[in-house]
Amino acid sequence: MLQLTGLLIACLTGYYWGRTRDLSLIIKADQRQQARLFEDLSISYQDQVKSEVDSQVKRRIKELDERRRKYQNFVEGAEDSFIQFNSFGVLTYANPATRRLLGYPDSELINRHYNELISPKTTKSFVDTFARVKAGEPVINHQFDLRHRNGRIVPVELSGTPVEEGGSVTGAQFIIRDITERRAVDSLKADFIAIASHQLRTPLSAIRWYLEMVLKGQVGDLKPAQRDYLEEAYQSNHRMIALVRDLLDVSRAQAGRLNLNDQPVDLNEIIHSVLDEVKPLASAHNVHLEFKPEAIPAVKTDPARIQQVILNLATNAIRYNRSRGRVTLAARQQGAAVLITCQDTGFGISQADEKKIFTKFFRGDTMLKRETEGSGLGLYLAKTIIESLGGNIWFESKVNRGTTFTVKLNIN
Amino acid sequence: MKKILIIEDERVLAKALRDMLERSGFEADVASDGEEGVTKVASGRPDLVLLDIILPRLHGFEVLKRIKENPDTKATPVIILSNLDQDTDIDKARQLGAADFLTKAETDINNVLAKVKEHLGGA
Repeated sequence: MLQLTGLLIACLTGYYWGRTRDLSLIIKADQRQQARLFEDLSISYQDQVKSEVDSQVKRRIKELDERRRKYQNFVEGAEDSFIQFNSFGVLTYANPATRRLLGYPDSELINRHYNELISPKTTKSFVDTFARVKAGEPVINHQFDLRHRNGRIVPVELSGTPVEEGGSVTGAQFIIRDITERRAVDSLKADFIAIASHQLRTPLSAIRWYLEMVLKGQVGDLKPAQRDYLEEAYQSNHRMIALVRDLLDVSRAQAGRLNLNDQPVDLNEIIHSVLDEVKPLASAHNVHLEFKPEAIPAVKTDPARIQQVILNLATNAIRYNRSRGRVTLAARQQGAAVLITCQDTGFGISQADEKKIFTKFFRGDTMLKRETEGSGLGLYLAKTIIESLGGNIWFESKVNRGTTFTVKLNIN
Repeated sequence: MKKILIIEDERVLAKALRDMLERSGFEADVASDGEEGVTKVASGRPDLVLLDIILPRLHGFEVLKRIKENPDTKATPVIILSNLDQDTDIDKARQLGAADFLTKAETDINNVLAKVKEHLGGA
């Protein structure tokens, strides 16, 4: 009896195992093999297998369909624009948000080259971005101006990734966000700061002029104590003027309104004029200034802004130096670039402060202990300006030994 | 005695400029809006004009344009004295024929005097 039951179990197991194996073989096989495998089965069993296969295929199709719908909803229902280009830069896919963004019906959007969709002002930089993505490098939050069908400029921010098929890049895809409103807010903010600063400057000018006339003795002699107090008031007013100037520059930089020039500049000449300007400050702080000019080519840049940056670095180097310390300025060529360095013998920048030094309103501990002047905007502005000019700025520092700031500018 | 016209709507700034110029031996007059400025340039024929940009009734650049369009006054040097100091403002002023551009908050009043003397040819 036990033997009989065992035999029965073995048969049944064999049957099921065989069936499952048949089915999986059939499903996995290609069409010709499928037909052959199928013929091997009995007619009734063929029907059974057929319906099994049908239902498995149906379930798979349903699964794929659900997945497709999920992604489709995600892309087609998105408020951001999703677009794909082939490797020639011809548009192959655009979601409905793109049609709204650019004002084209779908039929008129597909097969357009990106040149027709981007404002000529930003085409050049998009060519670079497109090439980078095509080379397999994703890009994040690049800003461009697109051109709406009606000619209106649409400022956008986009991120892109390569389209890959079979291990090679066949195009580029982008997610694009309309930043018209953000630009408008930035512009309002810049306007607000500009107006507020302009309003602040009127009383600041009045204080400056009247104090100056009194201090110059133009309305009579002053007692030493009166002169001393008025000097303090005059210096404080100067600080306020500098703060307003920095705030204005920051707001302009953030709104992309620095209006940078591009002309051949003699950096040695700029350094000379910075040195002339900081001489009184250096002697007040008992700091020695050094500059040995080298022969360097003219650099294509904005003279006023580069002077502002060097002046800022030199002023910091003097203020945060030790008495009888030294500030050394230098400019030398390195390949297709010029390096400007400003080296001090001050207290250095602690490691904790290193990452924050170029951020807004940052003032180092060592600096706060020594000096109350400075808006905390200088280095932030310096970095913003240098980067807008296509250069780099960095520093090396040893605590209690000193700091060297380096500005690298391309010659062309 | 050389005549200077100050076109400035801020009383406190106009007063500082007028006092300083008079102490230095100039005859100084003040116009407190753009329209008055244009009228006083035409009637008073000053030797030099100090001109603000943000003015009531007529914008400073419009005042400058009218001074330069009038054959009788177009040779009069105009120094812009403003607290706007964007490169675009400075370029615009130069295009319209301004002799110089000074930012009030960034300039000593004695530097204004030096510029006035410079543009009057050391008078």
